[in-house]
Amino acid sequence: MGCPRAAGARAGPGPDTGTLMTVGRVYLDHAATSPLRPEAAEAMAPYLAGSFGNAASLHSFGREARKALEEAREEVARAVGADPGEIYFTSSGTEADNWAIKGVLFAARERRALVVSAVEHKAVLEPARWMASRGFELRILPVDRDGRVRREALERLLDPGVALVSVMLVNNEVGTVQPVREVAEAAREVGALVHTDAVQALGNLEVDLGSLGVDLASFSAHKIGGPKGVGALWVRRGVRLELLLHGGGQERGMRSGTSNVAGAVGFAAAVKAAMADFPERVSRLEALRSRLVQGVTSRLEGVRVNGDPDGHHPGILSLSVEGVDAESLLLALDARGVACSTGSACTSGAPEPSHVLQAMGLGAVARSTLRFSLGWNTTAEDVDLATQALVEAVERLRGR
Amino acid sequence: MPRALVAMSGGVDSSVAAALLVEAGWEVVGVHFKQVEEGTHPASCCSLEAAELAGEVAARLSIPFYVWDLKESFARQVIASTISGYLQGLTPNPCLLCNRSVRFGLALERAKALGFDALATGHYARVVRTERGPRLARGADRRHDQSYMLAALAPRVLEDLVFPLGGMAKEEVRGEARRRGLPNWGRRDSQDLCFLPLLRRALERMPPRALREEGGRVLGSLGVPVTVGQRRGLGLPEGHYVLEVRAGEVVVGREEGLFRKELLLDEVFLWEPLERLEGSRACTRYRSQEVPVSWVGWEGPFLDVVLGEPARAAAPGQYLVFYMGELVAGGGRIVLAR
Repeated sequence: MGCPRAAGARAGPGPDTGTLMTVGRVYLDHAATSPLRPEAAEAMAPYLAGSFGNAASLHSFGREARKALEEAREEVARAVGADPGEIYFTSSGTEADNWAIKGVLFAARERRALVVSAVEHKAVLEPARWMASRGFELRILPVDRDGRVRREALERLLDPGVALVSVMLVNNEVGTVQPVREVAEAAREVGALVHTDAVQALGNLEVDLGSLGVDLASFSAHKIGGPKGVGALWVRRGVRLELLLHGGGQERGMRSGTSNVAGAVGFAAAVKAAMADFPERVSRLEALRSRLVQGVTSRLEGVRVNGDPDGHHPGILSLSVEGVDAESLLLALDARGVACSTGSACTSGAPEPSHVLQAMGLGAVARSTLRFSLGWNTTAEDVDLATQALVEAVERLRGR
Repeated sequence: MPRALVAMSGGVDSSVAAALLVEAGWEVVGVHFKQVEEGTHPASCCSLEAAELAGEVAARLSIPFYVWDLKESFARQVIASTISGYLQGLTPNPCLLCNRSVRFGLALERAKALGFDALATGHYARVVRTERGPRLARGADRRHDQSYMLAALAPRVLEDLVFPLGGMAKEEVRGEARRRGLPNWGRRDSQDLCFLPLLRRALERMPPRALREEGGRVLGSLGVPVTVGQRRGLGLPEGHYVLEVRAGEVVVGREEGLFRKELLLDEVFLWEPLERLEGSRACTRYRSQEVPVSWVGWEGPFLDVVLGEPARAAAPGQYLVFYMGELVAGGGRIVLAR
């Protein structure tokens, strides 16, 4: 047997060698997680090494931590047009989503129904299903072929029994932007609260909670170059919300658990950096995304772009490649040093055909669909290397 | 460096197989095949836990690891015919079918398309080079030998397979896993069919069949799948076994009635010329005793096999596998035992 090593296989040592090198590798999976921005690393350093205080302590060590925590809160609030008093730090976007869904329903008095879109992240869908198993009524809002919810479809599901409507701001798999403002208007007519999972939107789309019309919004730090393990839930003042975590009463009594000060500081620094380069970065990402689409579609037949062409995340690209199964393609690209994903990167053990593509009526192409997601440090060279690798891998896999 | 794709179930065998290949200098990539909807059987090889375990081992070995969703092809090529087989009164062999059409069918095809030199698994079986090409041989650990389940793989397929555990004993394998600190070294082996709960559900409303004593009276009726040689769980009279399963009835009787000397086979695969099979030995179930073969010949489209000693509980739907010494020489599906 010969040993036809794939061209460019595994260039550069991986993290298991302890050197965290990315030389020769291309990372196009920012929607799974983004590398830490240097601004965040720098801001966090003092709180990892020297300043260790518990933000709830009354002494000088505690005050130091508390000051950093509150400044971080202000920074995050400023970026999304919110009042710092309405921002609660959590351990993740998933916690924020769980809290919003469970917290609103458990606090609702008469209303027993919940409406969520069919393309929500599992962090919304799964708590919603769990609530359904606890006696609440779950109504699933369908989407069109572009992955967009329609106001008419929503209105058919709304009545005064609905406590909460949850529709994400932008989809994590296909990048479709949802008409959340319209959703909120419709929901308000029946007196329902509105939650939006804004995890992928933060830093990539304008998020103005003051005018969006929603009541709760979830965020996560690590999708935009902040650290993992920190997120936030924005809760409009006056919204009744049960607690998820009970204990020492941190976060103004709303979310117990010793504050992750370094995490919050890193989150704030990443948000600040994302706001500072927002217009420039977003237009650069748009251009790189187009370059990738151009490069691939001009060299390969049978490639389609999924999602809404008129309103999409600047860095998320869902491609269906006819005649090639995505699982093989992912492996072939990985061997060539290119990282992307077949859907959301949540559980290694659950390679279901994407529920998002199925909800869009694209179940047939779900098995040949890959997601490329670009982010703050993606370069034109990355895109060109990925294009080349993708074309080679597809030709090889189709060649049989 | 040769590249191998290793099928990792999450169990101890495939984990050690992967570790051995890494140490032997192969470039190894691990893949977990998801064949059944998760949650149908927590202890099976397709649970989320098994996939996570496989991933954990792969991380320990510093090899890339992926999960492939083969549910659709498994359902169509294995589950469907298993259910219909039981409904027809057969005792199907889904593992053999899966090996032929899914694991060493579709998955091997993918591995080759990706440029891998070999697909490796943790089976206890060996590939032996002979003048006539590669042949499958029994694993060195006779008690855990799995060559029966792989018997239908054609020699040209064997060229692309590697079984690192073929020469090892199970105890040795566990020892190797323990020595390397693999998290699953003590995990018990999966015994049951990976889609057992699904099969049970599918057969819940099986039309009842008459339960009849051999050459005599009707004892009652049965609405559950049964297999030839079964004794328990059916409320049979003391010392009675299922002797025969027909479309409308199940015949039970004493153990003596379980032994058959002549078998007709379909779906025949022959890796050696027919004339060489006389004098070979045969197994009629997984890990059954070998019995000598005294005559083999075609009877119309079927292969007629006369055994030198009667075989116990040869069930239609199961496979007869011919062995010449340690080598698998061929086989076929039992359609009739007389």
